[in-house]
Amino acid sequence: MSDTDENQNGLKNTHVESESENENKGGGLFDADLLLTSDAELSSNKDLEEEKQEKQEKQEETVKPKEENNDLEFQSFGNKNDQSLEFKPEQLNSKQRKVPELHPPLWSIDYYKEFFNIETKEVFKKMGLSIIPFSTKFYSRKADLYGPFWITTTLVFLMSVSGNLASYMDSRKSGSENWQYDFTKVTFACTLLYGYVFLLPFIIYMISKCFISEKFEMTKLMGSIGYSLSFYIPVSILCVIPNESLRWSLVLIVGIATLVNIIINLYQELKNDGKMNRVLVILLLILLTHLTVVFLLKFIFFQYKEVKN
Amino acid sequence: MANQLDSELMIPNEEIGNTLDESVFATLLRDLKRIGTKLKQVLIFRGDKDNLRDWDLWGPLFLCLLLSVILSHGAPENQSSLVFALIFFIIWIGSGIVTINALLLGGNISFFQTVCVLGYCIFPLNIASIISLIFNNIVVKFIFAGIGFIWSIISSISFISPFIPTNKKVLAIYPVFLFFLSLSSIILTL
Repeated sequence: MSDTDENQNGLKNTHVESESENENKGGGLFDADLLLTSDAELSSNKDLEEEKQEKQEKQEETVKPKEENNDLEFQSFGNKNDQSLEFKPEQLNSKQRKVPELHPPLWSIDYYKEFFNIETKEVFKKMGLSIIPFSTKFYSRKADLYGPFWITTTLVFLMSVSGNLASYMDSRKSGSENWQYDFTKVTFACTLLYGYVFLLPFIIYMISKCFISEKFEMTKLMGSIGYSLSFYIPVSILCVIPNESLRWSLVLIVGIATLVNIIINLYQELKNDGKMNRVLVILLLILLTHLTVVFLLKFIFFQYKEVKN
Repeated sequence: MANQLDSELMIPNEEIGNTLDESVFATLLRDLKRIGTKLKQVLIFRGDKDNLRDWDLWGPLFLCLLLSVILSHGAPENQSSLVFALIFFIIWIGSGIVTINALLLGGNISFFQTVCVLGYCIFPLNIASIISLIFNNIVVKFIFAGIGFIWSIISSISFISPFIPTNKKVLAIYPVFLFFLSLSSIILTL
């Protein structure tokens, strides 16, 4: 993450540098001012110039010690103040909660604590929001990874247990006694569901990072997909009942309701970026994956099979 | 007496001078005794909690292997290695993930100590699996797996739950519940 950020900043700086120096200065100052005076209001335009000068000096003082840690690339530029001024606000904007220097590294437990900072009530609220088809409230909530991970794990467990129970019921119904527990269902459920909840958002994040929007949050899509799976928990229990039309209707109702929810939420998130074709490709990717997962769940775990002796 | 000192000082203080020249048998016996006292703590689940603070992974490994062997013995023939691997995976990776989850939720616990507690808490399930191997009857299996499951879960929660923030207790306990539920559901397939 931080690596790419730095690269982008580097690119931006060189780009701005190649333009006229006055513009560069103005842009840098303006950015810094936006940040510094967002709560303290600027009253008149005449004082603006003076204040800018003051702010610049202050900023210079505060930023200089930190700049020693930056790459040589940054220091080699002629206009040091502007780089620091441009550099700072962007970092603060992208990570609003903490000062970037204090952000824990990707491999530490503290890094993920942010995504597990959730209370019991909130988890249930989010589950409810993830099934209402035309509600767009889901993305407005803080992203977490507790829900997606444990809902998926629960579902892996339930799928393998109830899938086997369903085939047991079916074998009873068809009068066969030659039934045995199929443990390979566990590994299959694992691959399918973890892939769907964690790998698919990662792929979409990569695509969107390259072609659509820089701001796309992977954890929110993981949350949207993960929480939507929570409704397969009752479905997987009810699907034990050996009745094909009941199984089909349950799987399809939940599948379509959650699909609409995921797609509408994601569309809300991406629609402002203007490149409709690319957004549609991503939505299509989600649509196809979702339907594949729904049908695989139906055919692998809740399929009526006549067991012969 | 020795146990009390053990838990206070976290080192086998009584043997400091003479562990070098004792026989291997004596060393093993001492370790086995310690595992035995910890198992007792788990079974009575209102026992001396400091005893489990001095963690080890020998006990959990032994219990894990025992459960894996018993359950893979009862599995369908072509799947017994898969079952062995599955139990091993659930116990070690599962207890690791459950512990990391509690840490991430802001629990004030130590990693290996919690893994050790969870490992020792499988003991009731071991007993249940041995009983259901002997009486090959679905009702007996169901009753004993159920008792083992409840026993394990009460015992492990009484160790872990005091260290979790109040508004997140359910979130930390749910994975523990899932961990033991998945293990005891495999006992039913024996």
